[in-house]
Amino acid sequence: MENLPILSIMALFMGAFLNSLVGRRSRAAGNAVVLIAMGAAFCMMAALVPAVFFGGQTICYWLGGWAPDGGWAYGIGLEVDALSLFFGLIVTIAVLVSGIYSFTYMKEDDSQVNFYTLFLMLSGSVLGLVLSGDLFNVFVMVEIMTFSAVALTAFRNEYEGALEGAFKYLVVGSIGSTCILVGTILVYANLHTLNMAQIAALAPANMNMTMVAAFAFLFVGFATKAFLFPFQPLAADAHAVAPASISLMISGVLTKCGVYGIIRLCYGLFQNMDERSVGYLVTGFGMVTMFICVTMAFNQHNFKRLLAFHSISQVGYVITAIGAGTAMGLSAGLFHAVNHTLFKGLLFLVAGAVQHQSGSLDLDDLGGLSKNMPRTTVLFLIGAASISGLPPFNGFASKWMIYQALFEKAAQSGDFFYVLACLTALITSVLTLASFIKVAQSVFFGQRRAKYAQVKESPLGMRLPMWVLAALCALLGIFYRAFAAGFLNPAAGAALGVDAYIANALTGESVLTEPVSYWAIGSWNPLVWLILLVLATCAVALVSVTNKPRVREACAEGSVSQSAESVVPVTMDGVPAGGSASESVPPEEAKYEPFFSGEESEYSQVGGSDLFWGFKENCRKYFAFWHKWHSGVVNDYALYAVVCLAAVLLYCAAFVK
Amino acid sequence: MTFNYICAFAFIVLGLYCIVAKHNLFKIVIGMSVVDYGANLLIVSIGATNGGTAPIYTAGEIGAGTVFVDPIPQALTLTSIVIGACVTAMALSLVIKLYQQYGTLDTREIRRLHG
Amino acid sequence: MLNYQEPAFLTVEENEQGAKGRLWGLLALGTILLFGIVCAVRLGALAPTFDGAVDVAALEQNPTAYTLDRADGAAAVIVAKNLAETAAKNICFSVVFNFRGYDTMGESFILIAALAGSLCILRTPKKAAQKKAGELTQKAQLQSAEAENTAAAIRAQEQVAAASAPAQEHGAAGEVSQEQIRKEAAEQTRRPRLRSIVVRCCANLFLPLAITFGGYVILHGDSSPGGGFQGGVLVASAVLLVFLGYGTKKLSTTFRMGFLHDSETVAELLYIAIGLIGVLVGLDFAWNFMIDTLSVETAVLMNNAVGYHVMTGIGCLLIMMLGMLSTSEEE
Repeated sequence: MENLPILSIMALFMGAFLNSLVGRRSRAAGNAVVLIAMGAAFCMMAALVPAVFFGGQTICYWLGGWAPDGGWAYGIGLEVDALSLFFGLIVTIAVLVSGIYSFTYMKEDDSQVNFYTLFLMLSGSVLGLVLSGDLFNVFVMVEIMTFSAVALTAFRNEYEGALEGAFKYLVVGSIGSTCILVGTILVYANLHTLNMAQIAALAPANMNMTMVAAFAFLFVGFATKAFLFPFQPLAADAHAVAPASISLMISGVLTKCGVYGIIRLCYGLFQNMDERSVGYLVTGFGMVTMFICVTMAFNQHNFKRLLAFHSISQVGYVITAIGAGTAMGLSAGLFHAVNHTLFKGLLFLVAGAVQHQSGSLDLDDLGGLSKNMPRTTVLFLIGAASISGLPPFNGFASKWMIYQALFEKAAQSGDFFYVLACLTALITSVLTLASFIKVAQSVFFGQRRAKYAQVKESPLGMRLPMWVLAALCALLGIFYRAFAAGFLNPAAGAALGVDAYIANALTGESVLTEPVSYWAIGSWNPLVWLILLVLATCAVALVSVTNKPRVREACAEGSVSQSAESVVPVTMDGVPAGGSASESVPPEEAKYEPFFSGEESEYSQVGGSDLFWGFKENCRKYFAFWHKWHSGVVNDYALYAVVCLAAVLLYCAAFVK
Repeated sequence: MTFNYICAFAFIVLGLYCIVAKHNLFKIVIGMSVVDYGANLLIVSIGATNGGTAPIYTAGEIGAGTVFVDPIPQALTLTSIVIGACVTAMALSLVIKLYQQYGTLDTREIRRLHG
Repeated sequence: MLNYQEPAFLTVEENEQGAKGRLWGLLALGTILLFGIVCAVRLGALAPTFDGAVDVAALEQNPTAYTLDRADGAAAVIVAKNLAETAAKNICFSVVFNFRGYDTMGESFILIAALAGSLCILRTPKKAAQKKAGELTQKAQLQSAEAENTAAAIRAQEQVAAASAPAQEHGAAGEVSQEQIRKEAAEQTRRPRLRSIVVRCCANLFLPLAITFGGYVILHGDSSPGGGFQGGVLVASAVLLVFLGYGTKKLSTTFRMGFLHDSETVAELLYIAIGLIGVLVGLDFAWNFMIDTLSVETAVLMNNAVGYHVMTGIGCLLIMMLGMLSTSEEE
């Protein structure tokens, strides 16, 4: 059992190379190799669950047998505690689902053998990262991850913007990797070791200016990998052009590596630092990321670019919860992390299915696809409900926990900052729901253009992974207490229990980690909410069914209703308009006429992008600023990265001791 | 050794300046390489000891007062150099293809994904 | 459905970075440089990471008599244990392949990822390739027609220049030199370029040197500076020398890219297999199971595998990129 971590990592890498050899001759054999590799890795991770989660053990494996000697850990160790295994399970499940989806989704592409090689290398490196116990090894795995992600983003190189997105990702991503390297080296210069457990043990006694600088560099490096503000334009560009299964990997798995790095950094390696200021830093990043990304999503016309902004916004949620520093905050953050992988993965796979079937991702072009793809629409609605935080799905449970954690932290510490964080989280949730109503309207409901009349339902090979994710979303939402007790609390306990981590690694004796316990208020019964939801849906359906004939008749007759005298129509300028003044109404405002003129019109379909025009118009300065800020020039993105690094260095030097 | 460290950080800052300020794609790639040089110089300098020699048991050259330098940063530098070379290779492949597709090397023109 | 029109405040305009952006950039870079200098000074004041805690001369005489009481870091333990536990005289080599062999494995994976990634990026997808083939044949026909036209035009211009040479010396000289350039260019499009003989001779001279020296560096990594990575790159320079001396056509006939790619994968699998043997036998990954007096051990085997891997991998990468050059030359 000790060998299972290294064997699962090697299974994925060997699968990559065997696929490279075999897949060139026969695609079916290559696919079989890929499936076996992913399945083997998942089974091996699952086999570790009883011992690590329920038993509280930490598996320590020294590569080459170089166990610590003379009080120093000089070899590379894999240290699998509950936190690492938690992320390892997320990774292997996401890899399995994404791989099975790719078998159908990438069928018509050429050079598939390279795709699967890079895909498995991405998976192996991410698994290697979360299971590793050595800081430089983490850096090497981060590099493998970045390379594979960049190459896979540029995979469909004939798509418009694919190479451009990949180049920007490579440039700013390598700035982040260099930050991690510089941070690692500064730590080594001070502590003379690269083992994470020993760094955690020695850091409290050796704090000085260079250690604080190392913390800042490492934090910015991992923030780059998690695509926090100001690195989110990379994510937006990369997600829009990458194949959908790779979008799942980038949003669901790569961002989690950044999150894992930040957790280990703040709770493990530099645990002695001033909790208040580090908490402000982390939660501040999370809040800003959350809010800016969700507002940016209102202006998007590309389905996947919109989903990318939402993805980073949800990662902001995770980071905000982690910054709270309490047991509940950490558990809430971890819960939202796994939920984010599930529902975001589902949404990206739906986007991929829409692209595969209809060939377009333009929100203003699509519409009415629910008539052609009813099952995919249901899956989309499940994903949208999860991300917006509607019961009984998992998004509701984890967001509830996050609100409670922030609220408790605010009450405990008396800090207004956490009250602000809680408010931001609530507002972001509302805006997320608004945005997904817009997307549902744009893509699946409403009128359908003639060219999409022949669009077929997505194939079964693509729907199966989506159903798996949707089922997990529902299950985690309904049985969240069992999940928390079995998986979240041990993982949070392992993250907080640094002494056990150190002892397991350095002394070789087995010290068990305790799961955390907290008082989760607001107990609610998901079944009640489910019944309420069903009743509400029935009511709405009833109303719409009984109302339909009248509307259809009016449109067929094209007649003016009798209420023409009731409302004096006005245009947006406030000038009263009527039949005579309608010629003076500028064309872009003509489409709003039906809402002001009180007449039945033939066209009353509100396009998705027009749904929130009032909100956008009123906040136009804000939207214009951020629209210009995402300029698309790689120099600007690098500038934002450099300014962020300087700002974090200044903040850490001034406030973090 | 302090001079080495200052030069290393100067290299990193210079490379970052190239990436931020230059609009030619090739110059950005060169900037990335310069950042890597700075990081490698930093790593190797950290391992240096005054009066130390290479950590190799060459026959007949080990005396009573021989001090070795730290071998671990040298191994880390080796890895870092390979990584830097691979980053450059991949970046140049992207630049070649970008020029084929967009017909220009100016980053201000290569911005179809924005907003 | 009416077409959506973007609100006025969201239209894209030409975005110059402007003075404000430059100011922010300079401020940020200045801050980082300042921090760098402060850190540099502080680092200079720190104790070195390995400060002679190990008596090296005594260890050379008696490898197993080491004590770890005065060890001040991971490096001290490694230097102390090196001769006793491994058979390598080059301590960097044993760090790279023995103590931290997992990182080296990750590094070789990066090479494979870079290679596979470049393959993906530089390829022309099938549909685009067919279109391009059609375009190329059209272009070739156009070019041959153009070449004939320019040759005829040049001859006509030469006659005119000869007739009015004495009167317009300067102007004619300029025209003649321009004509010469155009003539050479036209000839070059008709005939394949010959490499200069000096470059070819130098390539012939250095090719065996590069391969031999590279092989030496790979195989002697454990007792002198070197190792798989360094030597592998030296051998891969053979590809570059063939290109410099003979051009891309000879390059594609000398090296088969598919074979190189497969060899690289096989070398990588060998590396992992050697490491995994320990696990399957019940020991740890990359256990040093072959240490003996012949100084052949897992580290040396891995080193050779890595050397072969780097050799074929970088060779493959070079061929791919030089191959791009040939397609643009043809056009």
